[in-house]
Amino acid sequence: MDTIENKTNKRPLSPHLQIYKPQITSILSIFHRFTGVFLAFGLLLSVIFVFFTAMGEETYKWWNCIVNSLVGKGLLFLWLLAIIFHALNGVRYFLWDNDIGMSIPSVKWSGLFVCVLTLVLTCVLGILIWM
Amino acid sequence: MKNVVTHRKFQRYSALAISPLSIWIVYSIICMKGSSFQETYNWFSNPFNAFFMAAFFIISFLHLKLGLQIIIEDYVHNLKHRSLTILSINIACYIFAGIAIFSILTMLF
Amino acid sequence: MVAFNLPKNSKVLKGNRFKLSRDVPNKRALEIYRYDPDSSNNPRVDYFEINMHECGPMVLDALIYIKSQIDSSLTFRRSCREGVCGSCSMNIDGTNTLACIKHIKDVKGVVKIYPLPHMKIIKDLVPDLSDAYKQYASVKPWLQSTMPSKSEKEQLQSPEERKEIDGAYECILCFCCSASCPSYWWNGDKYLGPAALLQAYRWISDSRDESSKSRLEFLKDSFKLYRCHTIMNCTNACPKGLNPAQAISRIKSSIANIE
Repeated sequence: MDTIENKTNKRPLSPHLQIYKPQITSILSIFHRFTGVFLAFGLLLSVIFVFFTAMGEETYKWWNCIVNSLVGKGLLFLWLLAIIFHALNGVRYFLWDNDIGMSIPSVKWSGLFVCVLTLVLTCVLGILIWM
Repeated sequence: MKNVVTHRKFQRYSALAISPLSIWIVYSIICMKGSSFQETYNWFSNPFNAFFMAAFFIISFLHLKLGLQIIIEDYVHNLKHRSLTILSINIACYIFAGIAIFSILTMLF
Repeated sequence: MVAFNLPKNSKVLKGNRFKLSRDVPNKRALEIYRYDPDSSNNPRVDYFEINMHECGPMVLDALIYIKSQIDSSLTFRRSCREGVCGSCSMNIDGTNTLACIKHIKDVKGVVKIYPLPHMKIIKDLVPDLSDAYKQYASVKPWLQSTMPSKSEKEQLQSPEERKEIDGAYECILCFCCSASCPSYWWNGDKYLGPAALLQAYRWISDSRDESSKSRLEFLKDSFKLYRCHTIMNCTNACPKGLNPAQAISRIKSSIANIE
């Protein structure tokens, strides 16, 4: 026989991530987090770059080879995208902290604006850096 | 950082400080593209550049440390694992910030 | 580590199919989460087809229709059927809302109905809300004031002061917001969630309440309040059009100001 306690303990957990429709609110929020973690790795790499430059020409050239490879360029491009998104989206958090733009239409509008501006700025700066 | 209100303040202020520094760094990367080792080295030995690079690294690592702490608190529920992870992140931040400052000082003098 | 997957006993299986015996022009299909506590089976999703000609326009109408015509064991909470009681909150078409004010015609394709996300399920669409109610109680949702005994008069509020609690007192405690918040999913045992925090704000901003300072002190906690990362899913979900995220943000500002 199932006691009431037994029943309470075996209660299932309702589906969450599995069923919740992606919202622009939560997608941009988790993307802010992803880009933040990604930028953390970028920061470590840039420390290595500065360190290798300080160590002399040998290590600097070796590092430069990696940076100029296809993988290196790809990563740098993603890093550029991440820093631009993280910075622009960060502005939204500043506005919200000051009680600005917290209605759902404003949130959606500003989110979309951040996405478009991120893509445009990343392309423009990418061209300036690699062309 | 124990006090959550101070934590938030520092996270916001560090973000404010990083923004202009990042713009300056991206601008410098564009200006310096294709430059030789000597040119890059010389750029770092300029006191102005060295100062702002050092500031960038210190503030960025502060911001990183504060941000990752929140993420770890969100996802790591075991208290022992949580404080261990946060501690190791903090130590790594100090080590890498130290390496950055050391390198910048080497090129400066 | 937090579990992003469902535990073994919560994995959703395929369930029964109740098809219409003949084709009708205005047929709609629904998929409904079912869990029977009296069996040892996992939860399942049942498939129902209904003739909209025989059923009202709202999702709640469809649920009532299914319960009375197809499967009487279907279990859900409902009361007012007009969006004022907050009983029939559930996840419809991927977002939390009230079944009674959600039009079936606003949903494309199969209408997928699940209980509020990341909750312990008692039966079918009925989640256990006791923890959410405990969190609501923890913010002391009542007027704390010594005034009446001193003055022996009613406490007056100016129209401006009264306006301060607009958008906060209307909450019907359906918990659509809390159950839409990923932060509440992962830390719902310690984070109070948008519903309880909106009510905390309702009393903090009430001009007659005399303990806003101790209320803020209570909330000044890394987990109770600051697990809110302004994701804004709560405001997006609220069927009453309220803004819990804004209320939480204002609480944070107030705390920063008294520091």
